[in-house]
Amino acid sequence: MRGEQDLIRTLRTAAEQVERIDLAEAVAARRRSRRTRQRSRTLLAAAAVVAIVAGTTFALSGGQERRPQPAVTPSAPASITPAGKLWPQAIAKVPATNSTGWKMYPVTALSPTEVLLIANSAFEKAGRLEVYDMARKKTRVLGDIPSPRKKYYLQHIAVSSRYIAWYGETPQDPDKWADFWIMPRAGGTPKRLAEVAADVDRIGLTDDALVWSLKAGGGVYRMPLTGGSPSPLPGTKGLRLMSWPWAGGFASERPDANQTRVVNLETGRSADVSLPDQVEMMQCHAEWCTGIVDSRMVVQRVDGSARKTLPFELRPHGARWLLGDRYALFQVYEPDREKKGVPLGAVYDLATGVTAGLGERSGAPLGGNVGMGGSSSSPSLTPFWDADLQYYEKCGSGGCEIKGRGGGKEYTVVNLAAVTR
Amino acid sequence: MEDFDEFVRARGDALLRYGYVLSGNSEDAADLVQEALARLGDAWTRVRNKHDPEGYVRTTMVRLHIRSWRRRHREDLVAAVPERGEHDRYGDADLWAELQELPRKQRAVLVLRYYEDLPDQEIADILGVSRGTVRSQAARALDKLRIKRVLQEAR
Repeated sequence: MRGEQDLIRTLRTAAEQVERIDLAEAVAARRRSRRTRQRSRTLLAAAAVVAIVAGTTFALSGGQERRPQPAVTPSAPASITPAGKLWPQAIAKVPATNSTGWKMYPVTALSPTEVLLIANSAFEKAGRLEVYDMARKKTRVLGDIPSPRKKYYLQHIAVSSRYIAWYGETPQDPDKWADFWIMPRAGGTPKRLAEVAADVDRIGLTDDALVWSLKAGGGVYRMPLTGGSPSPLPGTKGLRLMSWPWAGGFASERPDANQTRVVNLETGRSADVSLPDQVEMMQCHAEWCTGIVDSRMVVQRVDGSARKTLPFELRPHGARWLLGDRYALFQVYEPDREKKGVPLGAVYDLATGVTAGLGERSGAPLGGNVGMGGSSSSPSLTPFWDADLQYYEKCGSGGCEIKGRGGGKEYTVVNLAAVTR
Repeated sequence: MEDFDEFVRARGDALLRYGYVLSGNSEDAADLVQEALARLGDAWTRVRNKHDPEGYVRTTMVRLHIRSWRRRHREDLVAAVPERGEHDRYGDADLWAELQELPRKQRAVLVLRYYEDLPDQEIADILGVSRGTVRSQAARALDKLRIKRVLQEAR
């Protein structure tokens, strides 16, 4: 009679027999042929792919008036202090699963002591909102996220002093459709405000209205929380909502486009972003911007003043790396995989240059990652990581692979709303 | 999107191995991984809260695999011989060969439980069946393979 260990061993050993192939090219080819078949429904995705392929040779679109460039200041190595030392009051350990066993992820902060969590009932399927109270060290359920259609996915969440709002879409359907929901910030039954035939990008909450911007072509719209019909906000053509009341103008529709304008939708004040030569992926808070020049991160005020080039170890985190109202999340480059104490990422204060290290890399080149609240419409206030997840490299005849073990129990969160400054 | 390519590079081999234990051959493994990754790639820009792309791909793979079983499992049963000789390198060639003869759903349950090391409830969620079904499918498969059930009770 065989035992279960025989089965485990057989499966593990057999797995190594698979032929290695170049998946990147094969997947790209498959996606190209799918797009040809479904041209109408994947226009957006196709545009994004073209943009990325062209990303490295990206040049500014014409017409930008340039100011004289200040000399680039050479930079010393990054001075990174662990976030726990800099801001002990901002560190929380939040559970990674809720009481029903659903995986939970931090979204953003509701206050200096409260972290909004989203619980997924299935893969990427948001099912419930909960809140972690850092003072009581307890999680509380706010309410369920209804799923009014098949293959419905919550996309983005916005919070105000009174409400939590979100919108969902059916991303696999070709038609443009989204619906908006609000829930009292203290929790309760959510209410569906409206359905729209539009490709929504970001949302926000004012005192009495829900606002959103569109993905293609931009433009910001508004609808009273009491209901009623949506109306475009005047003067917002082409603008994308960043974090109410701030909106941005961009050089193009491409995902790597530079932000060219910073607009306050409450006051109507608008400022052009002073773009350094050859800058890519410039992105701005109300006052501060960050982008990439010649593979180095640059930081400056919107008007181009206080511009500096950051140490080369700080690298962009994905395509959008803004956090909170004046922070950015960077990856930390360190080719020496044996080196101890290399953080998984760094929160950088664009105003002061204070750099907080998050977590610690385990012994592998891809030793962990920092999450940044993908469900938050505004730049999230709660970067997080799994401190128990350890990576290691296992080498065999077929090459080396990186494996993870442990983790899955809790996340370490930095609540940037609790950072005193 | 840059992240997507990085993800494919970093996790591609692991996904291929998973595809191989699910399907039993390199060709189907590559097909499953490519299809699941292509779907993830298409959704990458649209589904904005990406928390667990690998889970998404692995779930897509096992569901695709079971779905195609419904279409053509007859031929598969006939063609269920290990394609390459390397399995003899380790002593479990017989067991690997017998695994090919299981219905896909039963085999998927075993792979999720003994290769992916998932609890039965999670397997049930992934396959869209009840936990009881997972347990009965696993029990039936283990019996067919003449494997004594010990760990099952702990699940």
